[in-house]
Amino acid sequence: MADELGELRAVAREVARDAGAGWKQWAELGWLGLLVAEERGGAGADENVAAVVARELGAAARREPFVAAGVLTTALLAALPRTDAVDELLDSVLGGEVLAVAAWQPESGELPSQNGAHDLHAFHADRVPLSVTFSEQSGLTGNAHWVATADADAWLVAAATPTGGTALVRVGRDADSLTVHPVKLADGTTQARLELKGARGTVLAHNAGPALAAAIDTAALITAAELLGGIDTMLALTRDYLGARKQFGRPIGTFQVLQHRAVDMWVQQQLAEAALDGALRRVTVDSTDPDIELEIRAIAASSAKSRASSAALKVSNDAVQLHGAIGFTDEYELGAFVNRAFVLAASLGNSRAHVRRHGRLVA
Amino acid sequence: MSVTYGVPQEQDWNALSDDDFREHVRNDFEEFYPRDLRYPSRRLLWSEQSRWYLRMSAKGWIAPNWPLEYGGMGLSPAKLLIFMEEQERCGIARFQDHGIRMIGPVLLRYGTPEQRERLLPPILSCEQRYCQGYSEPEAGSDLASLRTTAVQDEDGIGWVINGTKIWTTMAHDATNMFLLARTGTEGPKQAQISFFLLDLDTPGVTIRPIVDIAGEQELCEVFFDNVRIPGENLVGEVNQGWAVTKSVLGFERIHVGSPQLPMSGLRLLEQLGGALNLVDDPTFRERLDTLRLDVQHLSDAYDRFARQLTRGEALGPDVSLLKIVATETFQRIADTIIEVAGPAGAAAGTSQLGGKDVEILTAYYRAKPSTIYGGSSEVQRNIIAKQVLKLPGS
Repeated sequence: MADELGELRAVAREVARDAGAGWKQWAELGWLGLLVAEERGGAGADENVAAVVARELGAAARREPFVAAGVLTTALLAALPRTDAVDELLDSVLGGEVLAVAAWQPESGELPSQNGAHDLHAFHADRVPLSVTFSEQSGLTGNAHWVATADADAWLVAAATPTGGTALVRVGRDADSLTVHPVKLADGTTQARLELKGARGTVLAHNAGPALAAAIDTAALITAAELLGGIDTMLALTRDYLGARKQFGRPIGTFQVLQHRAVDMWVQQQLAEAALDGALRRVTVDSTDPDIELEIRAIAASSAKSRASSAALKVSNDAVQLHGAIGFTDEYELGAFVNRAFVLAASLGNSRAHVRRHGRLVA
Repeated sequence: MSVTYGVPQEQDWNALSDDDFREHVRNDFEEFYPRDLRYPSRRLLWSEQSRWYLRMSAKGWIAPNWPLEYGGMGLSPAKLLIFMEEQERCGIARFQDHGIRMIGPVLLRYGTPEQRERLLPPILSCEQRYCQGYSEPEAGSDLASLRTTAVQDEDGIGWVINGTKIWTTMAHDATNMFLLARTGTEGPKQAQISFFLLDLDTPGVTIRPIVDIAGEQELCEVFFDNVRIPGENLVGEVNQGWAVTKSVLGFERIHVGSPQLPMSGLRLLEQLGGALNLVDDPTFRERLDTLRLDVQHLSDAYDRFARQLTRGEALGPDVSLLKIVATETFQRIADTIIEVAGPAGAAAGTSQLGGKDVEILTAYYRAKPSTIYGGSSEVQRNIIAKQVLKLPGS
């Protein structure tokens, strides 16, 4: 098992750092359906494998929406009751032909059970906070915020139904009564706000709440791995720089103040790695009760994502400081990791949101 | 073997599953450990806790880390870790157990058969309880600069010790000491040091307890004025003391990073939050939730090193991570307790808040020394910088 992951890591490292290899090649390698069962056209792998790939993508500061489209969307679609529409969409997403991302968040970005509004001691998988409504008569209405990319071919809009369910509706990029408002992000990618005024689409599921909650948590967990990859590279760059840069006639890495700051960066990396490992161990143990499994996944995802997000921002900050002025330039490679860390740290719940939710779930 | 060591074990503990072993140990501790000795806020004197450890000795559980043939429990690394975790979880106070933790392993590796037969049985029976003579007034973090000397006596067999040790934990309550003393003048500082065992009743030994800021007497200064040590109490070769010391630190290095102390701090913080009715206070919640995850991630890190030991792998210098994180997390918790307590932040010992018993400064007084003893946080960072990150030397 460890050996297989080691081999995968070596391959993933090479592919991730190959600027010429992108979405199409990743699809051919099966990376867009790592968590999808083989009989559905996926790789039938577990979260450990997805985390290895994501960590290498993060270590190369790849900006493609791997987690949003390759993890969240495919895990979500594979968990829905099978229909022709679901199967067809899943096939084209796995093949890399259609870039589809889920859209569900209210402006607050609130996570399921983050604020404990219902019952402090229970995880409510079917209560993913939503800000779009759906009915057969009036279609989709409302605003979906923080959608992973403005460049998607299709949106999977999760919306509250009049009966209290969570519908999942596929909406085309150019659908009527839909306005896509792009938001520019620090790393040069975009997010979108979808403004829906009675838009129509294909209903993929009428009760997608638990599947969506699980997919969000899986995606948050794998985002932690991607953040960790960025931390790995920022730490390595800083370590090398401390050894190479000379001032006052000697390498600056000989100064104890800088050594200790570098150690603090390393401590954050180790904690992020340990938190991710612990979370992966807990979600890959089979449980017989699906509700408990969802709650374990939520707790694990919040543990890993909270640490990875805060660690990445701390490490970014220290990496720039230890590099000095060169670290603040666009031409030096560190900046790409710093800006990527902002994007990933804020995505799917930042550190504070996950700390809060973790506290609600374990108290 | 001409000597019988300790008492036979009831069963082969390593044959049990980890869960079964944990349950067995936990049940025993829960049933028999005296309630009034749980989670003491200071180190207990031997007279206060001897009833428990004499029971452990009689039961054959006094030396969980020693092999069966020498009267230990013969536990595997995984079982040993469980045993120690359960001791801490139950709030069992440690005694001056350096004989068990250090001297046993040292003698098994470097001792002569004569030394083992003479020295191990009184450790198992708790008749001899050792303290650790390492630090000196001029040698703290820079231990290899120690100045206490050992010179061979007139007959060329025994040794004469002169010098001072300091910060010796509970020396006034121990019967014996192991100490490092300078025996050479050639070569690197580390290669001039030898490892000795000393009976604290020997003439020329003076022990002065030092009162700490918590008001307790746990640390001591120990003076040696022409103290004579028999030749048979040198452990290992002359000038080999540094290696003797380092060889047995493996398990200690993971144990100082155990999450149990920070967990005990969290419990105190939660009790305080309950007493002050702060459960729904958003600021308190955020601090508590953050600290809780800090402890969770320390536990995750600790588990990785524990699995490494369980697989039979040696621990590398990166295990310093645990001491840094465990002690600094504990201190953050202790600081938070004081802050949350508000006007009660200076209350010593157990006090009453909101009609409930709470402890305010207990965590602080336990946490503060932990970033100093056993290699300060700064020394641990030096180790990581050089041995893990391989940053250039100055």
